[in-house]
Amino acid sequence: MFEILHVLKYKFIGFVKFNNEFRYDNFIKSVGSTLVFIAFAIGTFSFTINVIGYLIEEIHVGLFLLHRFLSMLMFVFFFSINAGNIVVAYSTLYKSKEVSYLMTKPLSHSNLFIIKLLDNFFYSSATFLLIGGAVLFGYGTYFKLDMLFYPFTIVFIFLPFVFIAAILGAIILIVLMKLASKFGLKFVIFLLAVFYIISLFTFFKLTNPKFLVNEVMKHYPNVDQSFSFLDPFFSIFLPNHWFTESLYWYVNLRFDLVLPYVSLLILTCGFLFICVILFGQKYYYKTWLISLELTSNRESLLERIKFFRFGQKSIFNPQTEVLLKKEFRQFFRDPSQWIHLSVMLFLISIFIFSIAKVDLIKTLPFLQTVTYLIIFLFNSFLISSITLRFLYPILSIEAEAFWKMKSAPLNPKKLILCKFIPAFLITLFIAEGLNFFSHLPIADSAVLLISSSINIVFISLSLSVLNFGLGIYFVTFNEKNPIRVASSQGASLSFLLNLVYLVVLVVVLFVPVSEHFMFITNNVSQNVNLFIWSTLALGIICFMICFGMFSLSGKILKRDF
Amino acid sequence: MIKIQNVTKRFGSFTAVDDLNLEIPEGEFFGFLGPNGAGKTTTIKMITGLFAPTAGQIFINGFDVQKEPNLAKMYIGYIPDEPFLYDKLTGKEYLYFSGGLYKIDKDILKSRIDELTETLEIGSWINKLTEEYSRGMCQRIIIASALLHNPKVIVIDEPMVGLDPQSSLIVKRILKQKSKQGTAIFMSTHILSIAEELCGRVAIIKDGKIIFENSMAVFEEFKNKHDGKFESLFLELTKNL
Repeated sequence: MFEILHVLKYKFIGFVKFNNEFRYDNFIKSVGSTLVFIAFAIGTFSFTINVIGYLIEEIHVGLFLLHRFLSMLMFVFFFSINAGNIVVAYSTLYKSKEVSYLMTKPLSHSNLFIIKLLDNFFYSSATFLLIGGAVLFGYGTYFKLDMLFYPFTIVFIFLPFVFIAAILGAIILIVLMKLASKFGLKFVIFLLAVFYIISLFTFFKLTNPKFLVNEVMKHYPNVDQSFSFLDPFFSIFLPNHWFTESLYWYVNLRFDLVLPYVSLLILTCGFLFICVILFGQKYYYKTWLISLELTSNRESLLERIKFFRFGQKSIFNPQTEVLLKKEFRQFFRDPSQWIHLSVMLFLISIFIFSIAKVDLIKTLPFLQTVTYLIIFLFNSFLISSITLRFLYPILSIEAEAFWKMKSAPLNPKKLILCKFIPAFLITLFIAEGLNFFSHLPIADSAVLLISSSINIVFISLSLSVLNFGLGIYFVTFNEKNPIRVASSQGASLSFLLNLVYLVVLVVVLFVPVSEHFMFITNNVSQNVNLFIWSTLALGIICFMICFGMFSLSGKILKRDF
Repeated sequence: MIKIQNVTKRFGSFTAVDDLNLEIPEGEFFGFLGPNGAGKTTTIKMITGLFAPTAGQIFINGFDVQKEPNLAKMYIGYIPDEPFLYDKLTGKEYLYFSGGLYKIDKDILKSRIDELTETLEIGSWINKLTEEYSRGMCQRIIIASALLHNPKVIVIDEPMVGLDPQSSLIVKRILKQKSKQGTAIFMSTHILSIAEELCGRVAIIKDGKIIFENSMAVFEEFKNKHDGKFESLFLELTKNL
């Protein structure tokens, strides 16, 4: 215990001292990240109140269905925390320099495992804690719950829930590492992805939201009572069910029924914590050694493509050629890069799959506009997340090895373009695909599809340039872990500007989209020029962002290294 | 080949290099000595374009490093003190990458890589990821990458750090050979015996200013006037007054 506290104490001192050193750009980053967190918390709080109000007062779904919807959301949330922890834990537990350093010290492996586990938990789950806290606050405010509700739910319901997901993530990772030594990392990850897809699919298939809504609505207006007999048999084993049942009975002031679910959450959390400690004691060091060996198994199918071999002649000039090949190889040899991209693409697929049954045609124009804009905005948000995660750290991950390019006869503009263009083209490809497939069910209109396809080019370019440029402005060559770079304070400021851009997007698109749905529903005349003007506005904004960011990037690259 | 004209570098109120003037013609092996924090690495970083001077100019083969950086850098082979490589590239890929940056023709590059791999005795390590390398092996790859384009100027910061005796011998042999072939070599080192063995001319920098600059023969005379030891003379010249 002393060893753990000793290391944690100096980690804390290092953290506090680092942040106390006053520098102008650090100050901007701190203010920016604080603003992001506040804006995010307020937005989530307000969104929660409005959504609950809408479902209860407008749609009249009742308390039971509300909590079942929440349960489904929490299931996805649980998976996100779990998957997020696996990805981040790989860097934290196995790839960090700190681990290599502490391994050489007289510190027991199990204590080192606990230190890094806590490190990983707070690092990868901090954002989830913020979102969860804001949602619970909105929930409590809507139902006018007493002050005890907040500390009680956060400490005894929310934290154990997040802990269960995170600890399971660490256990899964250790098992993965153990299996990877026998079957190869990529095969094991593929198996895990298949397991996740089947789990998600099975959950929604067996939960059957449509059947649940129909059955409950047969009892309208008595829809607040519990219809737990409709729950599938396996739900009793799921933490998301315990979570929402606790809330459901709390709102009904049945504390005697809250306690069993809370106990289940705490006991499971405690049990898993003991399991992970024992697991760590037995396997952490062994799997750490395995992780060192795994780096040698590098040749992938993609890498066998001749075009990306360094020895192969190319149509590009030598500098462009080697820059592109280097980027490609580094990306596909770094598991934290390609695994994270795969997870994001997987989440995008789930999103497209989940909106496949949305039918906007039969609803009111206003509802059509709002739904369309929310989906379009969510598409843009996904593009923003991808660019923030992969384009923001693109220069920082060069780390100390950047001296080679900086001392070579290489024009900074060429370097910028060689890094930016491939990343942007991949982003654009994903964005156009996302736009196309999400439009199929929601907009039976060529005008809307064409205009959004053009707009998405400007949106992708704007967000890519914004995150790429700010990543260069706030470049830090000391940290080469892309996940950590993408969640730094500079990245938070970048995220804030992304949110501002998304707000501007809604302002620009609201009128043409709304007029379009009015035209479709009421057959009033449609002014197509409105779409042209909105596209023009997005184009001008895009040009301004590109001009500003590329000028800034060029200047930053001329700085001392 | 290297001309440093009235170069000053300031970091805020701290002056790291103060009005430095040096000229190294082709074929000269120049030793740049000085205690820690004297301004050696800062000078080297300005020569290689990693730092911009606050004042003054640096010319490589007649090209201003700040005004025509790409032309000037074409002639430099730089070997830094810390051998940072790209972890996820193999040694061979790193050499292809470096050669590409200097626009070397692919066929020529291929034979240069084979040649340097043999000369520097890199062996089968060339096909392994650099994250598996020892410091010495990283250093060998960096030396190979600096020599790929046959530079007219070699700038080396602490060349022997992390090298085993065998590697040191190889590096010294290559550098001597390059110097004889007309390459100007600018070497910073703490190891006085290396400077004594390799350099034709030396300069000692302290607090950003040159306090001694002359040929090795003159340096030998100075040395003999003291107790005949290079270390004693160095300590005498660099001691705080």
